[in-house]
Amino acid sequence: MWELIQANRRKSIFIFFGMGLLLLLIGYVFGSFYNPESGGYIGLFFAIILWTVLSTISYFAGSKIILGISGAKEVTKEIHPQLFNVVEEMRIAANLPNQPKIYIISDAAPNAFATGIKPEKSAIAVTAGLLGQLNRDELQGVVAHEMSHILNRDVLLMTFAGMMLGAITLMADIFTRSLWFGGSGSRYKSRSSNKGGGQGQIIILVLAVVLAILGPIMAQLLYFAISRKREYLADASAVRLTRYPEGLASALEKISASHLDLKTANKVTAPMYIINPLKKKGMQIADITSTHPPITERIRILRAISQGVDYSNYQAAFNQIKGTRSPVIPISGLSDKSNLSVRKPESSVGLNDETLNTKREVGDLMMKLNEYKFINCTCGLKLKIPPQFNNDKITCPRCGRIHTVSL
Amino acid sequence: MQVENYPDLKANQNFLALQEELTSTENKISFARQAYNDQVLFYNNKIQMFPSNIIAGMFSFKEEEFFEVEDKTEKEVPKVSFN
Repeated sequence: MWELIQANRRKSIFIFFGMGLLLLLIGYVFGSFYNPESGGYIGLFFAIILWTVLSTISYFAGSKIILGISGAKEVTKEIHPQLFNVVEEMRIAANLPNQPKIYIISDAAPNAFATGIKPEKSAIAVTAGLLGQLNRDELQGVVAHEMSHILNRDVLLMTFAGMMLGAITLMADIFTRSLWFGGSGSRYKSRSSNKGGGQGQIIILVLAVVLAILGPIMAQLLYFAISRKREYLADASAVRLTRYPEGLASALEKISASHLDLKTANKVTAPMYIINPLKKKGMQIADITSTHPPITERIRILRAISQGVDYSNYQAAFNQIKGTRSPVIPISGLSDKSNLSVRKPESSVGLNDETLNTKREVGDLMMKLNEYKFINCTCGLKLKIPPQFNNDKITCPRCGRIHTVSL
Repeated sequence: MQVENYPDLKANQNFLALQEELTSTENKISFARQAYNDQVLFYNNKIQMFPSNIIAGMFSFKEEEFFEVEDKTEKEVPKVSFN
């Protein structure tokens, strides 16, 4: 497990510099397109500024922004004790020093994500729908998957890769727009006709256009490839943490079977979720333009694990299902042959077994998150009071008892 | 305001909450044991593997033992009864 963290750190650094170089190259070429003498350096300077600003913002405020966009609310243990317990169990299994903060998204579609650059500042967010549909073992699988993202420093890797992608796309966008509406185009024409030395200029133009088109695509494909691999790796780590592949497998099955859409998810936050919230059904093949591996494949790999739960077992199952030998686990991780066996399922505890109740539970949970107050009247009626209600007394509509609304 | 005519069975809820806490406590113990053994495994692997084995040999690091419960009765889950 610790080998993987190290491997991932190295990869983060590699991506940081690799995509940084691409960004600088784009900046230089675009700059020298506008002004062949010194524009290259201005472009370079602009690229560096953009990169620094984006990285700084994402480093210090990234997780707050993402939690804010997705409408997640931090909760206390009273709201969902089981979720808190499961997160703490996985925190112990992963041997992390701090408990991640726990957020619930008030949405009926089942999904989850983890965020936080450092394990000390991490957070796990799950939707109310997820809590309603999964039993304890399945919830544990999902939380373990998210905890693995935190443990393996995937968030750091994906944040930097995402910001780099954003910067490259932004620069290419500015460039192509300025070509369309362009003062710069005419400048280029007049200059080339004055000097007659258009040869170099044309090369720069072609190079700039090619970079403007290919740069974002290349960066995006690279980003997607990393993202897919991270998902497999997090599945493998989740199995190792829980010692129980079936929990995650059936959780993934339930999440993918849901027809509900997660309203707050968008293109930026989609790669973070355990299952891509934007892609619906029918994705069977491993698409190079998707951030997540096909869900059926992930489930089949998890179900193919039979003897043990260490990384070499996951890799074996992966090879068996995919029919390839492409490594999903870094080689350093495969030395971990610990002959850990799969544990038995737990007797499903908790309120989540009776499917009849789940809809009402999800609704109640979402109301609790939105600061509704609950009063149980002695006549058996349950009063759900919205936060806008500003009277301090309320009459039970059935028996006429008067209750005090505590503010 | 919304009202609902499904009274919560308080006793049942309390029992489920207790059951959840018992399960979780049990899990926390076993996951702590698992995490310790994972660390030991990692350490022992490092001692055996190149290049860290050179340093380990120079300072004569010893392999650690895994945590195991020998007494079978200690592994058993305590019975909870309400009589």
